[in-house]
Formats: sequence, structure tokens, C-alpha cells
Amino acid sequence: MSTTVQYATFYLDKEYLGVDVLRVQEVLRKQVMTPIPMAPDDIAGLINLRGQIVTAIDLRRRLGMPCLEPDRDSMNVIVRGDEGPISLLVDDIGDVVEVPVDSLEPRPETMAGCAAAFLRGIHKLPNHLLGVLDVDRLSRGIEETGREGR
Amino acid sequence: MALPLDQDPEMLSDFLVEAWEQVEILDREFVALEEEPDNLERITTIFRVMHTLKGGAGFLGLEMMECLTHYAETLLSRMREGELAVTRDRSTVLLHTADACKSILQHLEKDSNEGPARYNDLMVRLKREAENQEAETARIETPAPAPAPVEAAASVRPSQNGRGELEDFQAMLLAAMDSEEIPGSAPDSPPPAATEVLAESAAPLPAPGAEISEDVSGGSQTCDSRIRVQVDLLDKLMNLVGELVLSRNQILQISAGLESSSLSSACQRINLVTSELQLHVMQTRMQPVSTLLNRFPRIIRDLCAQTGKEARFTMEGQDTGLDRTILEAVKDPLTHILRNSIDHGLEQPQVRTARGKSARGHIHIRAYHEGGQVTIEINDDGAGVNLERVREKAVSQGLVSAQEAQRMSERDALQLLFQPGFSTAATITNLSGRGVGMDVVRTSVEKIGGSVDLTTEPGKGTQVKLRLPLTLAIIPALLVSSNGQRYAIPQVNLQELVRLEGPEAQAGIEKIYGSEVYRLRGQLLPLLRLRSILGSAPETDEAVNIVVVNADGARFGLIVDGVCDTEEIVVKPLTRELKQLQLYAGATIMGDGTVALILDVAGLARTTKLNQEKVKDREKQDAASAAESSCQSLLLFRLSGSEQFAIPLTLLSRLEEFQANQVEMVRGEKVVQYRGRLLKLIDMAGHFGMMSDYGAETYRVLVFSYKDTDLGLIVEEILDVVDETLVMEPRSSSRGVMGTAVVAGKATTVVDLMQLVGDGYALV
Repeated sequence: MSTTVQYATFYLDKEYLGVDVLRVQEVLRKQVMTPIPMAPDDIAGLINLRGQIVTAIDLRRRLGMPCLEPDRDSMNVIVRGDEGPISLLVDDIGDVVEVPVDSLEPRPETMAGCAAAFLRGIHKLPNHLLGVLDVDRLSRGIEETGREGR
Repeated sequence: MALPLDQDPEMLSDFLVEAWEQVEILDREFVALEEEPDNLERITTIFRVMHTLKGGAGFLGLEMMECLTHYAETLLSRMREGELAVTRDRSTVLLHTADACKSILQHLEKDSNEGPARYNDLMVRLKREAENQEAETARIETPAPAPAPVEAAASVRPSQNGRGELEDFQAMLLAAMDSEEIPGSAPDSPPPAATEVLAESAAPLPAPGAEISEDVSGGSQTCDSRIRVQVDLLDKLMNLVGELVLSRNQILQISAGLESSSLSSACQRINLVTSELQLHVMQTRMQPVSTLLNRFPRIIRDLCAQTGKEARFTMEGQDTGLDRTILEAVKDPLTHILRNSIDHGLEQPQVRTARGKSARGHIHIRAYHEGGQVTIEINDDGAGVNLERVREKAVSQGLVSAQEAQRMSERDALQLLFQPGFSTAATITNLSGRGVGMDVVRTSVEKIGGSVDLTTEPGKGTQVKLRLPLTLAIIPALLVSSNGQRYAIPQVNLQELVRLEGPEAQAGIEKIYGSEVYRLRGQLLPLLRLRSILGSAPETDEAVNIVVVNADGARFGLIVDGVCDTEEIVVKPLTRELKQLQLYAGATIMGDGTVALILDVAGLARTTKLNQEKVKDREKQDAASAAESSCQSLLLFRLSGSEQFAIPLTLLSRLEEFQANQVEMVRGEKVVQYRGRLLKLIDMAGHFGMMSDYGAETYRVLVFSYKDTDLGLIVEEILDVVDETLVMEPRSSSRGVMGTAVVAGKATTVVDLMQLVGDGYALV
């Protein structure tokens, strides 16, 4: 029996994505956000997570997708990055899925855009594809990772 | 035994705290080692501990302890190398060493000396264990065959790579044997006494000697009054207290709105307790400045030796406490400043004597609390900074132009010292002159929220002042608002607040080359609008709030929407990505739970530096040009043709019109009778080589005074009087012209009236 890995999944526009469940600290509804003027577009702001200040990343923008409609609220997926927790803003939360480790396939070579830089690979689930995001790269930001990805 | 520690009880007590802890570790580790003799890691730990003890003992001149630990270390190093196995005997001997150390420590605590005991037999045993290698297998069954003592004594030297201290020890050991236990035995004689020692050591579990029998298990008083705490733990405590402070602020806000007296009195108590708790937790992280300053006498001594100078070093306020992170951070800057003081500041002894000073220079460091900050002053009584040389150097290094350098105020010139790459040292010494200097000092001090200031008096000396925050985690800050958001400005950067209301708000802020400035008590203060820095739309408020801040030696005014309050805030770091913006020093959580960004004032200045420098440059140019005030009233007029001319209105007395028939000719010059005197009329058009066609009925004349006489300028038409900032293009070559400028949207020649009349138009 091959070892399995669990992913916390979420939806972003039409994409179905996931991160290693062990990196997820918690999931929160909409939080009060302090905007950061002059910050990169894909940084949504700062939130107060029980006394800890957490940078919220607008995942749609970081992955080069259109913004969420203004009347819809994002969810916060708090993940542990290498500089402490960061929050990923997503549209909706999915289930935790368990898949065999070795079923991870590399992302298609032809994939363009910023998303490619943050994608570790793809799992083929019975109904759809699950893109696995790299938390470390996400937390490090577009400047460093984006370049090598393009 | 004369111990240097007699002079410094502080050092001794520090050593004791540490040594007790080390000895405890030894006890623990030895026991654990017996459980698993093959664990190399344990031996390594023990070895390290022994080494630390030896170092400390050596530093304080505790000879007995140093010898003991040295011998133990030798044995341990062989065990670690795998040359010797871990046996019960060996660990016993080592344990006895630890006990001996304890007993020495107790003596030290009681009466500041190592005590009367000499641990000769223990040392010999240690040494023999270290030597004994061949007998490895044999000794498990039987006591090891004792090597001849002579051999033992003699073999110390070759086997230890000639370590001096060991030879010393050997001599001492033998001398001790000589004097106390085996009188008459020469170092190289094989006396029975030596065999006796060996016999004892060969016993499987020798009873502790008399020397170490003194209440070893008794523990120490030092341990009871002091404990060593992990810094992490203190950091965590500090963070938690920070949280508490925030929650307290929150509760206070809520209770203020509820008007419940019992609640508010409870809140009051919480308030007090929290403040006190915060204070004490902060104190746990405090260390006296002396921990840092105590390094300096030695450094100064060495520097003086290198430079051939002489210096006396005095300190004041060594007890002033400072957060350890800050102490750590100012270590290098302070050392650098001291180097500068000696290398650049102090003169050679003979120079000093010639100048009527004492041959020995004096360096004085003073630390004190001031306004919630700690100030460290470094004073020297040297030559002071030679401002002329600073200016020259700055020019030759291309940092400023020669003109700029001349116009620079003393204060500005001193700021040059903080420019990257600047150095006044004529030659590069290994002390200073490499050009990485004061700028690094400033950068590192400002990184921790402090500031550097330098004042100097030629011939008398120099003073460098470091202002440091007490702690990094909690800082007082001013909260301001911009575009609906709150921002915190650290108090250290804050100088004053200025509020302009009503007409002042519009008129007070003047523009120069698109940059806004404000005249603050006669000095131009460059202004930055927080809204525009943060990329939001400009505000349309009647009142203007200017926060005057200082960072990087530059002072500027920050225009904000509103000024809220001062508050103690807990600084939380930002992620790397956000730090790169250079606009924010961190973030904090406000009383209401929202997050506010802390502005990085130095960063703000840097990101807008270009603008500022432009303002400065222009300011200087304008000051130099004749048009001194930035804004003045100009009379615009026309001669023949469409060209526009201007004259500062203040120079003119009146504007008159004369009928053509009033104008008479005297010796080829036009005059009119005016107020009972003759008013000479100057034909300006003629002067500028234009057609003077005054066929008109009326002459328009600008009347002005020159040397008590009225003179009149004939112009074709008076156009307007405008208030304008004169921005002069370079002086024109023609006489009587101050320059050209754009006035009221038109290229205009500004007339230099005084030069014009000086050119032969004067009556007298």
C-alpha cells in the first residue's frame, strides 16, 4: 500500500486547488483587513489573528486570476509559511482529500502565467483535477518565485 | 593568591553563577555517561563544560581550578578521541574533579579565594588516567600497573604539544608536593611518597580526599538568588506582556464607554498592574551598559598603543539598563566611534602639550536616561572636527559641489561625515579611513530606532550622542490618520506638531519647483504628503496637520489628515515582502483590535529623497541669487516692442504720468519738474538698444530713489503688478539686467535697477 497525503482543498474561480493539510493552521471567515498602501497588488492586507499580525495574500491575484466579485467575501486559509503564518484568500473551502503520494503529476509544460510558478503538481481525482500549491513559494512571494517560474 | 577578581566582585559573581551551572551539568552528564559509556556526545559535552570552566578560571586567575580542569580536559580529550575507554574509574576521577571544583567555588563564594586545599593526588590521578593507555585491558580486572612517577611527571611535556600552562602546572604541582606532602622529594626522584599517591589512585573507588570532603552537596547561595533563563523565554514573556498591554488598552476603551464605576476601578487596577508587569518584564531583559563599556578600556589601550597616543578613559552611568538586543546592536557602532575618537580626535601627546592641553587625552563615556530613551555620549577632548577639511574632502570626493560646500552651515557640514564613503583621514590606517564609518554607525543605530548626533568644538573636542530606545518591542508612538487609516510614527522620530488653520493652511505652504515647503520659524521645512506617498487621492481639508519628523539627519514635515493620540505600541515585524517597500517599520495592533502600520520615517525620507535633494539644491541656488525671497511683487512693463520687463515693486517709489510738453532737455538729457525739483528721466529703451519712440502725448515714468535723489524710468506701458516666485535663469551678459525669468507665463527680463543707474545715469 502506498503512502498517502492529505490536502486541504479550496476553490478559486473555477480552479480546484489544495495545499498540504499539515501546513494549514486554521480556516477563517472574512476578517477585518488593514490595507497596505503601495504594497504589491496581490497582498490584500494585514489581519489580526489573536494578537498575531498575519499578511493576507489575495490568492487570485497572486495566481494571475481576475479578482473576486466585490459582493462576495473571501475565506482565509491560514497556512504556516517560512516566516510565520500567512493567510491565503480563497473563494470557498472544499474537503480534505487523501491521495496517494505518487499520483502527483508534474504540471503541464505548456502552462503559462504566474500560477505555474506556485504549482507543485496535479493530482487526477475521479471527477476533476486538483492543483497542489507550494506553500513556501506562495509565502515567499511573486518577486522571487515569479521570476524563476517564467 | 592575588586574584584579579578582588577588584571586580561583579565579574566573580557572574563567573560563579555560570560555574555552578557548569558543575551541575558535569554531575548530570557523568552519571548519564556511566549508563551509556559509548555515547560520544556526552563526552563531548563534558569536555566542553570542562573547557569553559578552565577558561573562566584562567581568566580570573584561579590557578588551582585551572590546573584541575586542564588535566580533566586532557583526559577527556583522549576519551573523546576514542583512545581511552570510559571506565568507572575514569569517570570517578572526573567526578572527583567536579567535586573539587565545587569545593573551590564554595570557597570563592565565602571568602573570595580558592581555599587552602591542594588537589595534588587528584591531579596525579587525572594525569595518570590520561597517560594510561596500554594498560587498557588489564585494568578492568586489576588496578592498573602504576607507571613510575618519574615517567609520569616527565611525560607530561612531550604528550601535550608543549602547552605552557601545563608546564606551569607541572612545576606548581611538584612544588606543591614538595612543600606540603612530600618534603624533600626532588622532581625527578622516585620517592616513596609518589608511590603512595599512586597506590591511593589505584584503589577502585578511592575515598574522597580530605580536600574535597567539605560539604560538596551543600549547593550555593549564588544559585538561590540568581537563575539563568533562556532568552527565548524572556522574548515570549515580553510578547505576552505586549498582548496584555494591547488588551488593557482595549478594556480601558470599552470601560470608558460604559460608565460603570466598579468596572472602571477594576480596569484601573488592571491598568496599574499591567504597567508594572510590563516594566518588570522589560527589566528582565535589561543589562547594564557596563557589560558593554567594560570592554572599552582594553580596546582603548590597544588603540593608543597602535597610534602612539595616550588616553584616559572614564565612564559614568554604567548601571543604566538597556535591552540586551539593543546593547548587542550598538556594540560595533560604539567601538567604531571610539576608534574615531582616538584616531581622528585625539592629538599626539606632543601636539597636545604644545596646545596647552595635558599630554594624555581624555575619553569620557556617559550613559543616562532621558525622556524614555537612553543616551550614550562619547566625549573626547581632542582636536575636534576640522570643518574646512570636511568641506574640502567632500568636494574632492564629489559628494557636494564647491559652492554648496561653502554655503553649508556648520551643522550641514557635520552631516557630511555620515555620508557613505566619506573619510577625512589623510591616510588609510588600519583603524579608520577606509570610508566605511559613520554612515554605517548611523544605519545600524537607526535600524534599532535610535539616532546619532555629532557636535564638535574646534580645538576642544567632539561629542557623539547616541539616543537609543529602552527596548525594541514596545515603543511610544504617535498615531496619525491618512485616508481613513491609522498609522503609527515612532516617538523617536517625532519633533513637533504644527497645525495650520484657515487662510494659513493655504498661504503657509509654499511651493518651490513643485515641492512643498513650510517656513518653520524662519527655516524652510520640506513637506511630504503622506497621502501622496501612500498613493491615495489628495485631501481637501481646510486645516493642515504637519508632523515634523527627523530621520537620517534630515528633517521634514509630514502632512497627515489627522493627529490622533500617542500610545505605547507593540512592534510586530512584517514579512520580507512588505519590508522591501521601505515604507513601514512594522505593524501593531490597536486597542480596538485593528491593525495599524508603523511608518518607517527614514524609509519615507529615502523613497522621496530625490525630491528633497532637489528642494535643497534649489533653495541654495535661490538664496545665492539676488532674488532672495522666494516670492515677491513685481511690476511688469513694456518698453517699445512686446518684450516684457519686470522690476521688484519694493524698489519703486511712485508711478507717474507726465505730458510730453512737461519734459525739458538739460544738457541732452530729459528732465521734468517734479515736486519742486528736477527729475531726471532715464530712457530705458535706449539703454537696451531699442527704438525709443515716445511720440505719445504722455510719458509713463517709474519713479525710484537712488542716493537721495529721485530718478524716473520712462516706459511704454505698465502692464501689471504680480506676486511671483522669481526663478532666474543665469545672469545675462547685458548690463542692467538681473536675469530672465518666466513671470505671468511670459519670458521676462528682470531689470537690475541699481546697476542700470550705476552705469552713468546717476546725476551726481
